[in-house]
Amino acid sequence: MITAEEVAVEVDRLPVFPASVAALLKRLRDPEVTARDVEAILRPDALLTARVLKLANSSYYGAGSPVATVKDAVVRLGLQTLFGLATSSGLAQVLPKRLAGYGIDAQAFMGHSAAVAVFAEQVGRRYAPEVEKVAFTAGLLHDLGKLVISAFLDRQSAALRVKLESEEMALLDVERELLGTDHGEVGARICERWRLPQLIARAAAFHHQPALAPDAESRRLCAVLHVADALTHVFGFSTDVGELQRRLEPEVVASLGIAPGGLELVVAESVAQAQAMVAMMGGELPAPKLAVVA
Amino acid sequence: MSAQPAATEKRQVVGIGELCVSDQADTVLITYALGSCVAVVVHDPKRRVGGLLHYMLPQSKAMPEKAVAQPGMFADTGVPMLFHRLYAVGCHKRELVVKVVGGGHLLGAADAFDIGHRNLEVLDKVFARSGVFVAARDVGGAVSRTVELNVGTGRVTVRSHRKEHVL
Repeated sequence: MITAEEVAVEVDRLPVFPASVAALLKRLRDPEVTARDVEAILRPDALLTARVLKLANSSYYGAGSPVATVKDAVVRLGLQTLFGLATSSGLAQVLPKRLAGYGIDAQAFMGHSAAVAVFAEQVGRRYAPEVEKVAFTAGLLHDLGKLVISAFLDRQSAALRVKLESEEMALLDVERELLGTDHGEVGARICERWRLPQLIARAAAFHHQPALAPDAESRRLCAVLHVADALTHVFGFSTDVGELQRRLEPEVVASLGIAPGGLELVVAESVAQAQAMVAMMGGELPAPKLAVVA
Repeated sequence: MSAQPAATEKRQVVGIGELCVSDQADTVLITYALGSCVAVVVHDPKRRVGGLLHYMLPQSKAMPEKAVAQPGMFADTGVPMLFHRLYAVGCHKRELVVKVVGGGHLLGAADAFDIGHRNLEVLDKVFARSGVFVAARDVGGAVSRTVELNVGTGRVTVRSHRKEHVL
């Protein structure tokens, strides 16, 4: 078990999320935000601006004359894409090399996050258009809590293994049983510390239990993330501990009005796109390094 | 960890939604992290030919244009294509050893949304209709599998986070 104080200490010790991206995300739901605003917010942060422009000029967005400024990138790719690129650039700056408790490195974490973002956008587009636009960015940040939980989980790796392997518990339940908290709850603490919008914090907090989210908008967003996360796990966009030992809540699927077969359309649309996005964002989902137990 | 492949062995990775047929006896066909996807692994011991399909979804009916672009994405288009490729290099259906791996699911996934279950169900129908006998299977459960086929020997190895075994 770990205490709230221990969590708080570790949250404080994380590198600080770039202030420029946090400032940008404050405008996530602002219908009035313009390309000029985005450029003004990012301009003081040269490193981040360079990263964003590099992504905006990647082959993922096709050939064409290169964009030279953030404003051009917004015009070419749209505001929401820029929010996503800035978020992923910010995330890349703060990721630790390795998340030992989950058995993954930074590239695998980024890869899973990028894949969830793509799937969430597709699920949102089809089943919850009112949150489609934030789904991508929320998807990138949904697992932030793992950055802090990882080290605690690693200290109990033997118990973790037993619970996953012989008791077949869901990973989230194992976290709660061993630590008294989980990566959702801790993710919300990190979002608060980094002054990210409440909607993003709630998305991180409740993506495994959307029904517990305290308002209608975050419930919808969490439902979208829950389904997207589940799909990435069963389609190989995750190689961390526990693999498929997560729950897909049938009532969450039903709450989005997804008919049987509907998810198959989402999958057919998303897999190739997610592979390309993972590569663009510097993610890598390595062949699972499988410890042979038996 | 599993033994490292012999230096002379060529490893050919089959991606998600792809298929591969090989007549090179020193080749190992391998596909990773099956999740709810299914691998159909076929071997012709007489000709030392192997084939592996890693399909994602059961049926292409609702997405015919996807099936044209990438037939290996679906059971109903990928399986026929795999067998036709094998016939094209001289294999006969009755001499093929067919094994099926994957079709896992998340905890608590309801049947209607359980793509792994639907993937296996449709495969059974395709095989029943075309008279294909399945020699061995390692399917279902909350398990993600990696599978490899040694084209020369026909040995099929399945690995998951729990274990490694020869199927």
